[in-house]
Amino acid sequence: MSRRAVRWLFIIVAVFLPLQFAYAYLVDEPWPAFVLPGFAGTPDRQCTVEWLEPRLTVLFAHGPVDVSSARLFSKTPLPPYDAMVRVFAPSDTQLPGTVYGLFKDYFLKQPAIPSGAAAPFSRAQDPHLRDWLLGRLADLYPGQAPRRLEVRWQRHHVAVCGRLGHDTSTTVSSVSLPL
Amino acid sequence: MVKTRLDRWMFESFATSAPSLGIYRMIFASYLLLFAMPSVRWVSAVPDAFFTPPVGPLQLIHSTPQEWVVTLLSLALAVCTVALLVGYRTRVASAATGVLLIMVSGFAYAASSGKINHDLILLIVVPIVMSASGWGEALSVDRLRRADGERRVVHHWPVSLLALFIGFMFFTAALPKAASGWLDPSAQATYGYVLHQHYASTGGTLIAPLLIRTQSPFFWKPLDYFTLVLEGGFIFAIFSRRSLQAFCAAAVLFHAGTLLMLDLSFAGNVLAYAAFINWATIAGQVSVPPSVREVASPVITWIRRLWGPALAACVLVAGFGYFALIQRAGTPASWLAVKLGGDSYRGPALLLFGLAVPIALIHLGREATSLVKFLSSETAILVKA
Repeated sequence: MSRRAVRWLFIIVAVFLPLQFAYAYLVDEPWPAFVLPGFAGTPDRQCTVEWLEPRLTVLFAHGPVDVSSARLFSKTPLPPYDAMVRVFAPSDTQLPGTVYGLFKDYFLKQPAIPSGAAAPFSRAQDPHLRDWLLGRLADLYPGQAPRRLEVRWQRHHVAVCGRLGHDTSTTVSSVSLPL
Repeated sequence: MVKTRLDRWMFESFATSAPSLGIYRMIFASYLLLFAMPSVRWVSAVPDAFFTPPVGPLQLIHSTPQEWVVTLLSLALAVCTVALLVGYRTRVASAATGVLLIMVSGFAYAASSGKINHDLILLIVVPIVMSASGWGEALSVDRLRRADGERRVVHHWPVSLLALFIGFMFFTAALPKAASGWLDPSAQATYGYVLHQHYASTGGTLIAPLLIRTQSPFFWKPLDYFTLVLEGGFIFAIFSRRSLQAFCAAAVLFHAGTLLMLDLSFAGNVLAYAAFINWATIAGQVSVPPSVREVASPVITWIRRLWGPALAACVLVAGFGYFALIQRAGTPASWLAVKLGGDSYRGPALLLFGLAVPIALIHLGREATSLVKFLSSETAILVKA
């Protein structure tokens, strides 16, 4: 490669990198994106740490059984299943796409889930997902027929100024999936 | 004047020898094979409801890829990485390793409802950028099979380009922090994130339970400023080899800290920083035992004489063998970490930092000593004057 071509390559890269940074932060994060997570802000503002977590309960004929995301997605590595469980978010949840939006949603566990009972997200109504769920639950609870999957999105609060408080949680939204 | 300086930076600042590049190539490929080979066969088992490809080439795929596609691409990645390690068709193997990493890891992100992790991006940049450096010109099968005396052609500008990527990417981390309260003396952002991870992280954190016992701003605020100086200063440090090496050493300590405090592993970044080390100088201090030379000599002769397609077949078989091994046991580092009582996520990263942190500390210690000596001599001169 000639020196002239290399200089042009550097110029193109030097222009491209800020443009893709702006796009990733303002519009949507592509893959690959040449950015590192920003960790903007302070998550303990107002002396409270908050996060949303789904609580999954499977209703069997004999009663409800709680199942953790880790167990349900035990065949996937640790980092992805925190994100995969988002498929059970309510239908009116705003799905982020920017670097900061994804960071807030997945790392800070603060998805934009509105309050109240809601219909499940359209993807959760996919019959193939239902079949997959039935398969996983059959592996975890052989011989039992699940009737319904309830997903309660719970907001956890911990007071963190002065003496660290206990974790308190309130249900923000719930989604029910017939099986 | 500016053009001359920029040219000097691009083409000369990171000048290094072919053996140094060759050693780095082998270290990088070894890291991929031993620590970081992505395992994505689970992707084909998840339903399409989870498949949300991010913006980019993966949006050409509309549903979860079938198992044979994932297996084929993972196998190709294994073969290319083995080829990179031994320096066979290095330029093609290097670029292909980077492209395949984009695809394979992209499948995992797409199947994770679109959640992207940023720990692999520098591991992808390195082989693509360095494919143009001539890092297969030494300590490689390619070199062995060339005629004796044939000139080695290495280029230094890819190392400068890698520095530009690293410097800018750190800047993308610094800017949101500076714009959102990290500079505010009354805010303790690092403390806030450590607290958050302590309570909200699924996997828990290693030392956060110990650290959060102190709420003193004299402990936490310097960490905010250190982070801002490190991340924001990288883009300027890339214009001097010495300062970039110091920043990279500090970054190793920074990443070790984020692993321990936030359960976030950016271990792969350490391998990108290793591009700026003069490996030939370090290797020159290690003497090769005569017994090793005796074993190596016939192997080298055999590689030189082996029929080309047979050599390609050997690389393919080695790649297949490695792929079969990791399907059963995971990467060697994760296997070892589990055997030692750790987990397959943090364990390999802790092993890597166990090697990298002492090297970083030694380097920073030497730089600090040089700085102290320089300041002392300058002070003495001023006093005499």
